[in-house]
Amino acid sequence: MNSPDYFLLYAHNVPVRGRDGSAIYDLRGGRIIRINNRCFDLLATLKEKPIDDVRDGYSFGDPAALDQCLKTLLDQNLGFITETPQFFPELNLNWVLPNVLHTAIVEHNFDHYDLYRHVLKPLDRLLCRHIEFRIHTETATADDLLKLAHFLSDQTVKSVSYLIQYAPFLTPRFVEDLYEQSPKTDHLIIYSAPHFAEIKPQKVYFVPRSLEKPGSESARYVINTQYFTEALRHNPYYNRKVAVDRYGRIKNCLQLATTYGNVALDSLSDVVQQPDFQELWFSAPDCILEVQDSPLRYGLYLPYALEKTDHPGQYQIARS
Amino acid sequence: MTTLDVMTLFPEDMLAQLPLTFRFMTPIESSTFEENCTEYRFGRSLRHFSGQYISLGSYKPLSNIIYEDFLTQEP
Repeated sequence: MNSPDYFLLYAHNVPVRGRDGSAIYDLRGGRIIRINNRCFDLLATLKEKPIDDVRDGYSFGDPAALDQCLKTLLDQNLGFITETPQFFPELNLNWVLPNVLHTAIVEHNFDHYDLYRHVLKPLDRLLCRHIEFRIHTETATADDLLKLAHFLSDQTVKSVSYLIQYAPFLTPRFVEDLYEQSPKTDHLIIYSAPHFAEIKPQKVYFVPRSLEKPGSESARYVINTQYFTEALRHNPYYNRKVAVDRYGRIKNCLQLATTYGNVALDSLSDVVQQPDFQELWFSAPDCILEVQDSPLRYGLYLPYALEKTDHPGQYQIARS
Repeated sequence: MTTLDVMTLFPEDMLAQLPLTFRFMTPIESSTFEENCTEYRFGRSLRHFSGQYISLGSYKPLSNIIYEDFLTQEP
């Protein structure tokens, strides 16, 4: 006698329920497939019961309804039929990062604070993985940039991106050499440049745009396993992030007014480990009023200022 | 593609049983081997005692500036 057939989604396809609809996150393919809530409930039932046992309860007088739904899921290569569902465990959705900090945004003009002593050495101790520099060149020189790139070459950081204000000493040749000599450089963008130039595709550019108008306001989605699992319990925009503005003020994000000290006076390592600084790290999409009912909430990029509502632990997007 | 040397990994007694070409193996630096399609770059990390510390971008945008948008849109 044959064993009964079960339908399972591939482990990297994770269904998420919203109020008015649901979605399947294809975490390997980087896409989202919208489904209705009835289909979400069906997928949950199919994990527990064989297809034949589910068919009668689902069809509501239309025996082909379940088969049509399964055919759609199979055609999109979202799942498979098996007699041994116990051999296909679900994806582990825990998010773990040993580093105290994932991201640091450092605004600097080589004037107001000691970049190395006050910021970069503490960031190294905190095992910061990625740094984005926003460098204002009013008082900077070519040697300052070369020294910075050289210093970072021995540090723990995995990648460094530079957004540098245009200055005459930033010639295409100098910028290309800077990129080639510093292998940790991910992006090197010279903004407020006289004209657009692509020095190295996807990596090194001169752009006329200024940082005051950084980009579009349209919704962006990030679909991958790390982002999804992080978003289940944290706000991926703020989590494990610190920002230091050009005056050395420590913030959660450069756009926010709230500061938690100054790198010249306070220890950056101590500040980022304070509970009040880390509060926004835990403002997960499930706690944000505007997105908590959306099935797309775990992939939505949320670079917005948040404010608390009257309900404890709940936030809403601040209206500026 | 950077070829580093011509050498063999195998001792003489094994080479006696292997085709002649196994005596002329050429190690290739992986970051320069385009068929790998990795385009990885390697730096250093003193804390990891590593001189081959892989440079790796983030799985999410770092800030409110999304580079794709910043580079493609009109000023």
